[in-house]
Amino acid sequence: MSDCVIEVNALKKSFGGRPALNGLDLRVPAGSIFGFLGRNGAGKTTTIKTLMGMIRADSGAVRLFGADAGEPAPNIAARQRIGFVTEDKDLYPYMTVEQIVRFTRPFFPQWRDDLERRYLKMFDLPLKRKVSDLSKGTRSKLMLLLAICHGAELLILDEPTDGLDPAAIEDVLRELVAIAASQGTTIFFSSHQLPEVEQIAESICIIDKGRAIVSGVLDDLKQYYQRFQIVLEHELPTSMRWVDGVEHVRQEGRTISILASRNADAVEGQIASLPGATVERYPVGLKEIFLEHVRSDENALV
Amino acid sequence: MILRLSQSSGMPIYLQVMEQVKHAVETGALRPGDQLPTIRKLAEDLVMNPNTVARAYRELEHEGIIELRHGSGAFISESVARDTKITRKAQLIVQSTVEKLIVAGLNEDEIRRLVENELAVSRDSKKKLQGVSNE
Amino acid sequence: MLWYKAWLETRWRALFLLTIILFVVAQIHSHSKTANATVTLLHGLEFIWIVNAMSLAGSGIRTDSPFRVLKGIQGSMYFTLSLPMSRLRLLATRAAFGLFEIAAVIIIGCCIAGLAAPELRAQVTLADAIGYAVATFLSCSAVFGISTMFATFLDQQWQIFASMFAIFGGSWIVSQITGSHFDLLPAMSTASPLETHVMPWAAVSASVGICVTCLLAAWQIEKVRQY
Repeated sequence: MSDCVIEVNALKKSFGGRPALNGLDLRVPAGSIFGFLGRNGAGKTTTIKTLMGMIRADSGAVRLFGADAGEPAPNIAARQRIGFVTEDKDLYPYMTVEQIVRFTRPFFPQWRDDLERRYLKMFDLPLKRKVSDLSKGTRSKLMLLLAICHGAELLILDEPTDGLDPAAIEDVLRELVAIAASQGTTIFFSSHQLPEVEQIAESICIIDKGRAIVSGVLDDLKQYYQRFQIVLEHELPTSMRWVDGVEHVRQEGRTISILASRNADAVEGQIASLPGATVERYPVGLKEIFLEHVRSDENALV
Repeated sequence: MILRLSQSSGMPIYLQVMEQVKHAVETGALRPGDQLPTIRKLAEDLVMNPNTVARAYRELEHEGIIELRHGSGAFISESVARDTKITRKAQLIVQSTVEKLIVAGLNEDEIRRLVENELAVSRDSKKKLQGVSNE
Repeated sequence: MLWYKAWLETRWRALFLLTIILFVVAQIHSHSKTANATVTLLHGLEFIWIVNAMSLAGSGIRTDSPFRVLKGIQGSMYFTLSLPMSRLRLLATRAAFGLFEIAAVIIIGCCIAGLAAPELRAQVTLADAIGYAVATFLSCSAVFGISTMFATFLDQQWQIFASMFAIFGGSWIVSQITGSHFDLLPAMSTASPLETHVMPWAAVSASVGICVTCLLAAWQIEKVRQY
């Protein structure tokens, strides 16, 4: 797809025999806000490091801005257009806020002085204080400033709100939304905070054990996913084959809970055919989708 | 425009935006010709995804509730005035029914449950009718 | 701006070493004006210059601080790597700046020594002094090159020191065993222009060769390193 800013195909990477990425596919449309979710160790940071040229994948393709970005030289050209926030938010501890802004500015010809002034003020960053004396939350905001101010077309943010208090989180989310709306910047961010992702992301990808297990437009996913709570007259045989779309079935005695990712009407039809079934149908939020897909469950039949 | 969005309700956000705009039109908070905030402003104020706002606006335009005038922004359609009259009548009916139920001694929760029950029953019977006509 | 960063990282080191040099020179100057004092002075300075060369080694990406692992300094390498420039440029800037600092410390050391020890000025011609400074600089650049190569795969500064001292210690052991005087840096001692009054071209070329080879090796290692 030519309008994808990030395109990853069948990405594989192992560290000492242990697979970190196991055939990951990813498509991030231009101008979207894209949430990248997964448990710790699922491969989020490995993916991000591969995008940024810190890690070379064993196999598979990485394309940024429509061009191959797996090799060092084209990756540098791509990095000119990317603003990045690292997982640990570590900057040079011996530099002051002022010095590190001055250090970063010359690398990017399109530096936005107006945004720099705006965020220095909004995030209340102390110019003369050394980075080593800043709290993690303040460092997060500083890194975000450095990423946003160089006029990047793509922001890759690894847990951007980590360490921030709720008011600061709201500030950051609002600025991200403002940048997306006014500049058409694509924002690709990983996060553990599902409510945040639900709030501002329009597309998501859930990664588990190095593969993408759910991806798509969030509003669509929430429309297709349905939960059914069923009470039957008799216990079901465990050999029951469900229609396409049923993701997880949990059975306890005569009560069954089903999560369907699509074909909700067909699923409801199949349930209605069971003797004496009473059904309740519920919408599904992102947290539920996430937990259902990344947690294993002894009671699950599917 | 003051909207209240809920992440946990499970209803897609763009649908929530649409419902609340429609509700505002029905109650008269928004009148035909009123201007809605720009996509960017609404997204920033509510801290939500701008494309989601855009989708809600597009769907509202598709349903004829709003008009997107290129270069000027989004405005409530003149044609919703007609629907508003029906809603006003409905509002009066509900108002008098609720008053009667309160006089009869029911509290808020009981009234609410009665209404939801009636809606569920009518939804079921509509489905059964559809099922019958489909066979 | 990479120069600025390299300066910020190494400035305290450079000042510290200059202070030590001043201290050493002042000590010798105040204690005696014999020839022995001069020799001791030079040996002291040479030791300082060599250690300085080792300590300035850095990949430009990691091991940016010699004396303590500051909290977060290893993590900042991801920030450096995210900037739109090649690892070659990072390494080359750091190496060039390191060599510049080594040269500066040598020249300043020589000037201070010359000013503080009049008998040195009497003994040594200007040509020899310049020759000595150049030979010393090129020898130290070999030390710097090897250290920088180590810096691309050793995480801690002390590991680099340990490896370099192992090399020097190893050569001393070899010379003890074989009985012959095995000198790793002849341009600074037996073949020094101060002794021979000519430039030790062989030794100096070897030093340059080692320095260039090691820096190239460092670049090749850095090119394929994954973080």
